[in-house]
This record gives sequence, structure tokens and C-alpha cells, in this order.
Amino acid sequence: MKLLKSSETLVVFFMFIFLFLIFSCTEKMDVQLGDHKTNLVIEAEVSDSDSAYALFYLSQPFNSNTKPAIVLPDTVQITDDKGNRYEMKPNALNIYKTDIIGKEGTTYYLKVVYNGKEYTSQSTMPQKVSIDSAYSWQFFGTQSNERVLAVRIQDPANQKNFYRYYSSLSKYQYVFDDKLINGSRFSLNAGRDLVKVGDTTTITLLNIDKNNFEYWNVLIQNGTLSNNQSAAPADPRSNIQGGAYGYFSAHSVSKQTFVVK
Amino acid sequence: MIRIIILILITPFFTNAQFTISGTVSDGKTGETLIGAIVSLENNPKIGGSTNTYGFYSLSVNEGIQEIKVRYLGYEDFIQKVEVKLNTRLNIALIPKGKKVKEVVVSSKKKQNLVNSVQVSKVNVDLKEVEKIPVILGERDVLKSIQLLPGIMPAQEGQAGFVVRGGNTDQNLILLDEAPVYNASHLLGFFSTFNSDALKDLTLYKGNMPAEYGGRLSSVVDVKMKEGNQKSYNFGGGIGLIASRLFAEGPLIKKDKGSFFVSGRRTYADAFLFLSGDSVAKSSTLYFYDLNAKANYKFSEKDRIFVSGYFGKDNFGFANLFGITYGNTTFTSRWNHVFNDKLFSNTSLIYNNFNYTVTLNFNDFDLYVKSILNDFSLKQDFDYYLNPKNQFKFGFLSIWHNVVPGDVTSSNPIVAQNSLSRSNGFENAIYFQNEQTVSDKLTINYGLRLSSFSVTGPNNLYNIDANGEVIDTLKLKSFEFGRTYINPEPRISANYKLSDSRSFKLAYSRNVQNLHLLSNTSASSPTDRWVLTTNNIRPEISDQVSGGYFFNFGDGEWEASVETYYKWMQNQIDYKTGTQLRANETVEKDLVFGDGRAYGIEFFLKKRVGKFTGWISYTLARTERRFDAIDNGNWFASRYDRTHDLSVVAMLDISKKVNISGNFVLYTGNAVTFPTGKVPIQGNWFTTFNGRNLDRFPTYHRMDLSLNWNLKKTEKFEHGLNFSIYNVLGIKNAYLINFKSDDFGNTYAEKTYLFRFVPSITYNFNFLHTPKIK
Repeated sequence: MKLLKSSETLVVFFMFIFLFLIFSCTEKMDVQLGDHKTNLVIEAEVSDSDSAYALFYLSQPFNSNTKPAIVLPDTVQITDDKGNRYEMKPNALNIYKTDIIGKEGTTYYLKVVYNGKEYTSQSTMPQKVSIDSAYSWQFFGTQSNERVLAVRIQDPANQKNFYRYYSSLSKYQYVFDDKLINGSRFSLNAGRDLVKVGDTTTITLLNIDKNNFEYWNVLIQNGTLSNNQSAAPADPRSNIQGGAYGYFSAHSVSKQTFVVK
Repeated sequence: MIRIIILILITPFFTNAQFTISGTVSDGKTGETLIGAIVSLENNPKIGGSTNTYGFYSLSVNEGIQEIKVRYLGYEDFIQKVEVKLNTRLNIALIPKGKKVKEVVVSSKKKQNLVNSVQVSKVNVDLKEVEKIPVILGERDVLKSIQLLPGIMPAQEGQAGFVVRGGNTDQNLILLDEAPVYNASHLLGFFSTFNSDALKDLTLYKGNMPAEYGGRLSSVVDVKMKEGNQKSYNFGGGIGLIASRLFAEGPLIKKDKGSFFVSGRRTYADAFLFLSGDSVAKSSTLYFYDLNAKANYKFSEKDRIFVSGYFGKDNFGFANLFGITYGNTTFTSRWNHVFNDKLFSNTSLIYNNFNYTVTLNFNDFDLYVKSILNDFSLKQDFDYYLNPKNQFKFGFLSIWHNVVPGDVTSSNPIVAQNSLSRSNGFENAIYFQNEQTVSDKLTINYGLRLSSFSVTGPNNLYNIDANGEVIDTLKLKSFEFGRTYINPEPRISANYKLSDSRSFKLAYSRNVQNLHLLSNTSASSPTDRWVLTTNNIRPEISDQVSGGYFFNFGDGEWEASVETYYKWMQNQIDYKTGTQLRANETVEKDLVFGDGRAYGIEFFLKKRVGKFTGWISYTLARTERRFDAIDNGNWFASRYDRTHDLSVVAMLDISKKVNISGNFVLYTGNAVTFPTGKVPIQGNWFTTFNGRNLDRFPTYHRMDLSLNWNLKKTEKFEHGLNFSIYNVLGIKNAYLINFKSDDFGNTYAEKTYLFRFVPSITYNFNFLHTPKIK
């Protein structure tokens, strides 16, 4: 059972449902893929609730079946537009951390030096929009103890808002912008997986900037998760200068934890 | 060279014909007019021509006794002596083959259409032949059958959508009784909007169309609906696995004066959903229906009125979460008028509409997205039969395009009503063409189409800077004109006959397109967005040169051709990465513009007559695109670049009642972009890519079989059964290839395949009733 969110995805998904239900079958296949050039992957976040972190990996050829390869750059530094500067050092789990807590409207700058090469990025933390309520509901035709998670949000009308959201019970993340629903109170289904009554979950809603929305939007469209729907996929435009994969995001966080009923 | 040009220019005025014989050619049994029947003089076959789309012909002949001969595929030859003293009106009724004892034995084998017609890259589809070709789920489909011909390829497995000579799916002008059909498919693209019961004729031009057609780069598919039986009432239909059809036709008001035709079709694909164990599937809706209707009446020998329409709708609902309805409507009213024996006129008023509505459930409220495309057209065509050597066609076309790209409304009044700006355009064209017999060996069809497109209000014109940001917006008010593009489109094609059975043809044409379909998903969807030419989106232009060698052998039993083409395309459209096409007010800033080129060679061998008929078609081709913003401006393979494309069709009459047929297709897979690498982000693997369309789907191949069994055939009633199996070899052709990761984080490719061993059975029936009508 799948629940998909963006309207675009829904349309295409729906177009195939008939085929998939009636005629389609799947099987693994071998395909010859082009050569991959290994590159640095950066995942770095500043939030208004947890301490900032950064993680570094190397990209891999698609056909290799190895675990993510963590690397440790020499310099990892975050500064802000107020002139503050934070050096980051790896902890025991090889995660770079610093204690800064982000503020709305502040622009943060990331600088990384790895193998003598410099990578930079910036992100401005948007105005915070909190989860109005989080709840679960029964999707038509599912088992009596199965639920779908959802959040309700009051979108502020005075600005463009970009959301990234996920549930602690699912590994998938989603993005949504308020282009169609600006200023309204609306609901989003959080997660494509069904959860069981009695499970405890935390739903996280992030307010991200436009560059990060665009990055995640393309990333999810291309992703390993869904049907390879994009006719002409290409790498999402990263907000990192210097030629690395990945992103740097300053965002506000709103969370709600509840027991699925 | 100059002498030839002078010869071409002056010959129209130096041929002196005395009198004209004109009239219509029709089916003697039903009264249906026949398109493209060859009318000539028995003693001088060089004086001749063919009937136009309304069955009208006109011949200039000398005074005295003339023997008129008419030939048409599937009918007995007609010969009549006429004494010509004045301009003469002669309406001719042909008798279908097998309806009368053979009195005069005339070899039908000698019809040599491909060799004689002036047009290169033109295909006349025999709809009776189409009925025998196996199709998925037994639904006869002419748009799928044409994909078995050289240079015409399916966009994807089983789809009614097709590409011609390296074009895109939106570069085909599909006309139903002159009205453009924007989304010619139903049910995820697996069925075309053309109910074969309602069709009379289909002509396809692979780019080198005469000047009377225009508006798309790749092809014209000109479909004509049946007019209806003028002599008797006829009622029939079919019951199939997935759909049922009914039609009725008969004389209107007075026998031989008018007729009507109505047909309908509805699918019951929903029934399959009930078979599925999935409860969501059970609560979903999924069906389509079509209605075709046409009526005509002859008010006088010189005036005839036609009214025809098509209405089709698809309806899907996925539980209560999501729904989409979409459909086409066309309406055509036409007036044929014979001014005199040489001048035939047709005036058409056309309306066509394509629309869809998507319903999305947001738990608290529903959101509706509605999109509409309307065209209002006026078309005037004249056929002027100057003399036996020159046949002129000229006229004009005006179309008002109105696009509503997406109006968002909601069941919740708090949600802001949000609409994308409307756009309008005014398209005009005038054309002139002459089909001229220069000598016994050389025939030329030349002409010029002058087309214009005006950006008109209401419309938003965006001024976009080099970074792709909108600097300012000019809002056009209703009927206010913005920029106008004018493009001359020269067309010429020549046939040089080397002998009665061999000819060489050469053609050049320029085509211009002002409506563009934006689609960035791998599957065609009714929600793909049509946009008009604007100040930023330029008219697409193509120039195609093609040449071919055509020949018959075995006393005309076999025909063969080799054609080659080269096509340049300008102002082609692609998208910046991650572009969202829907709900995007300024989609223009996310588009990129570039060039295309396509070239190829097409081989065709056909056995036309006998118990065993069929053909082999093979195309070797290449099609590429180039955009500054994609892959550093290097040429890359178009998605529909198919190096090889092979189709084999075979039909065998086992007895008078039973025939079997089969087809085999094999083609290079679509050019696609597969991932090359992966990156871990937030605990998930995501894919990375190298360049555009560097990879290929696996080679596609499939074989289908069918059996037609005529249970009974009398003057009053006939019925029969059709059995077919689609993909009898059970090939697991990849329809989609997904890249996934398993629970251990291992990544792999997975293909989705459809349609193996799909059987079907269809029952067709037909009642004929001939009442006494005054």
C-alpha cells in the first residue's frame, strides 16, 4: 500500500495503477551503467532546536554494494551574518558537531576543506511554522489496526513557505511548498508506510529555504524510492559551491510525538 | 533548369481543354463517397485525376465520345461511354468486389498507387486491412496499426501515442473531420480515441505534406468519419473483453439525399479492478467512452452540408483520494459547394476542446485543478481543376486558440482560488498549391503556405533575463495583439516515372508549429501541459528533405519502396532540471530552447493481393537534440532515437470464413538516463547521473497472433468472432526500469513489464435493413 504526496507524483502514479494491478510484474535485471567519478558528499544542518552537525561521505558507483564510506575533512567551519564563528570537530561517531542553535532570519555560512579543496555554502533560516496538530487516520480499505500519519499546518499567508517533513517510523522524507495552498490550514500525510495502532511516533516538520526545497524536490523525484518517473533526470542543484554532492540547510524544527490511535 | 521552370510556369495557360466532366464517385451499395478514386479516360489514361476528400472529381476532355474509367481498391472497375458536347455532370456509383458476377475481367492487380502518387512520405491506410491486425484486448486501433509502417514508431509499448521520423509525440497533427484532436488516447494511452467502427479513411503524411496542411512538424494524420449509408439502415456492434461498441447508420430524410452515422463505445475496465484482491482497487473507477456522430444532406446537386462531432471522456477515481477526468470534444460543420464544373469549394467551421480536471483530497478539503484548451477555426478550401495538367488548391485557415492552463478551486472557501494566467493566440494561414503534370514522366506538386501566429490577449508576456528570472510582465487585454510571427512554408514534391512500375520521388517542405506540449515524465499523461507560442517560446520550425524509389513487381502483386530523409528542427523545447510543469505560472523561465536533427532510411516491401498478404518494414534512423543548457551544448540522443525498427505483418485467408494474421515487431529501446552513482543522504541512497540519454532500454520485441472467423454472412445479417493473443512469446519487455535499494542497503535495477500472453475474444455483428423509402 502506497501513499504518495505531491500532486504530480499522484497523477503519474494513478496512471499506472491499472497496469500494475492487472498486468504488471517486476524482476531484477542487469543493466550496463556509465562510469561514476567519486566525489565528496556533504550533509550539514543548522537548526533552531538541536546543535548543528555535518557528515561527510564519498559517493559510489551505483552497482557497488558497499556501506557508505565516511570521510573526515580537515576543516569544517560555520559562520553567521553576525560575525560568529564556530569550528567543528568530529565526535566518536565521526559526526562533526558544534553547539550553535540557529535563529530565524539569520544567514549561516559553511566552509569545508577536504583534500586541499575548499567547499562553501550558505543558507538562511526561514520564519518558523509549527505543526498545528499531528494525527493518524485510517485509509480506506486498510486493516483495522493500520493507520496513516498526517500533520495539520496553518500556512502563513505573508510569505512563501517550503516544508520538509518526516515521521520517525519511516525512512522517507518529503517536501512541500505552499504555492497552491498559500495561507490555508491544510494536512499532509507523513509517510508512505502504514503504521500500527499503539506505535509511538514523532513527526518532524522543517521550514527550509527555497534552494533546499529545490534540491530535495529533485532529489526525491530522482530518488531510489519511487518509480523513475522523470524522463530526463539529472543531479539536483546543490547549494554547495566547489563541486560536492549534498546540501547545507538552516531550518526551524517543529516536532510532535504521539501514540497512534 | 531555367527552361524547366519556364515550362512549369507557362504550361497552365497553353493547354486547351474543351469541356469538363465532373461529379462524385460513391459506393453503389451504401452511397458513401469514395476518397482518392482514380478517374481517367480509358483510351488516354494520362488524362485523369483522383477524387478529393468529398469524392468530387473534374476532368477536362475533348469533344466527342469519351470512355470514362474509375478504379478504386476493393471495387469493380467502372467504365462508361459518354458523349461530350457540353460540360457534363456524371455521378458514378462503384460496385464493391464480390457483389456481382464478373462480367468484365479487369485485373485489379495493376493498381500502382505508391508509384503513381506525387507525394513522397504519404501513407494511405486500408482500414479493412487494419481490422485483421492483432491488437491488445481485441480493440482494433488504427493509431496502433500505423506504427507498423516504416518511420512511424510507438512512443512506448502499447501506446496509441507515436513518433514520426524522430519527432516528438506532440508534433503530429491528428485531424478528425478536420478538427485537431489534442489528446488522441484513452486509458493511460493504451487506446486511441478513434473507434474503428466510425472511420472511413486515414491518410498520413510523414512530414512532406502538401501546402493545404500545416501546424505540426512531424506528420499529419487525416482521419475522416463515415458519412453513413444512404440507401439502407444498418445496425451493428461488437462485444469485447474490455469494451463494447454499437453503431447505427442510414438514410436521412430521403434516400440518396442524406445519411447519418452514430457510434458509441464504452469500456468496462473497472470489471478487472473487481477481480483484483486489492480493496483500494475495488473502490476505484476506471472507464472511458466515445461518441461519434455525423450527418449530411444534399440540398442540391451543387450543395451538400455535413455536421459531425466527437465526444469522449475518461474517468478515473482512486478510492476517495484522487480523481481525474479528461476528454476531447470536436465539432465540425461543413458546406460543400460546386461553383462550376471546375471549381469545388468547402467551408468548415470547427470547434475543438480538450480538458481535464484533477481532484485531490487533502483530508480537510478537496482541491480541483481544471485545465482547458479551446480552438475555434474557420477553414476555406478551393479545388480548381484548371485543365488535365494542372489542379490547383488554395484557401485559408484561421484558428483562435484559448488555453486555460490550470484553475485551482477548492471545497474549502478559505483556500485562495488560484488560477494560472490564461493565454490566447490567433493563428492564420493562406496556401496555394498546384499539382502539375509537366510531362508523361514528371509530375510536381508545389505550393506555399504562409502562416502567422499572433500572441493575443488575455495573455501575460514575461520579460525574462539571462539568469531565467522574470524582470517584468506585460499584461495583454482581451483581443489586444502582442508579437506576430510570420513564416513562409514552401512545399514541393516531384514524381519522376522511370517506367509504369518504377518511379523516383523527391520532396522538400518546411513546417511550423505554434502549440507545444510540455511533458517531463516518461509516461504520457493527459495532464501534460500545452502551451502556445509567446514572446519567449518561438514557433518550432522543421525543414525536411526526402527522396524515395518506388517500384512494383509480380504484375503489381508486390510493391516496394526505399525512402530516405533528413530533417532539421529549430526552437525545440526542453526543461531545466527539476522543473515543475504544472501549477507553474512562469513555466517559460524554466524552459530551454535548442535544435534537433533526424535522418534515416526506410525500407518497405508489401504483398498486396492474394490469399497471403502482408509486409515487412524496416527503418534505420538517428535523431538528436542540442541545447546550450544541457550537457554543455553537445548533441545528445532524443528519447525516441531508435536505431533499428522492424515490423513484419502477415495475413492469410485460410478459407472464405477464416483468416489468421500475425505481426512481429523489434526495435531499439528508448534513449534514457540511468544513474551511474549513489550518495548517502539522511540514511537513504540517492542516485547521481552523468549526461542526458546516454543509456538505452533493452531492445524490444513482441509477436501477436489473431484469428477472424466469419460465422455467417448474408445480405441481412453478418456476425463473426475475433480471437487474439498479444505477446505470444511472453517476452518480458521492460516498460519501466527502477533503481532501488533493498533492506541491506544494496542497490539494484528492477524492470516492470506488462502484457504477456494477453488473450482476447470479440464478437462483432451487423444487421442490414433496407426499407422502402421514397
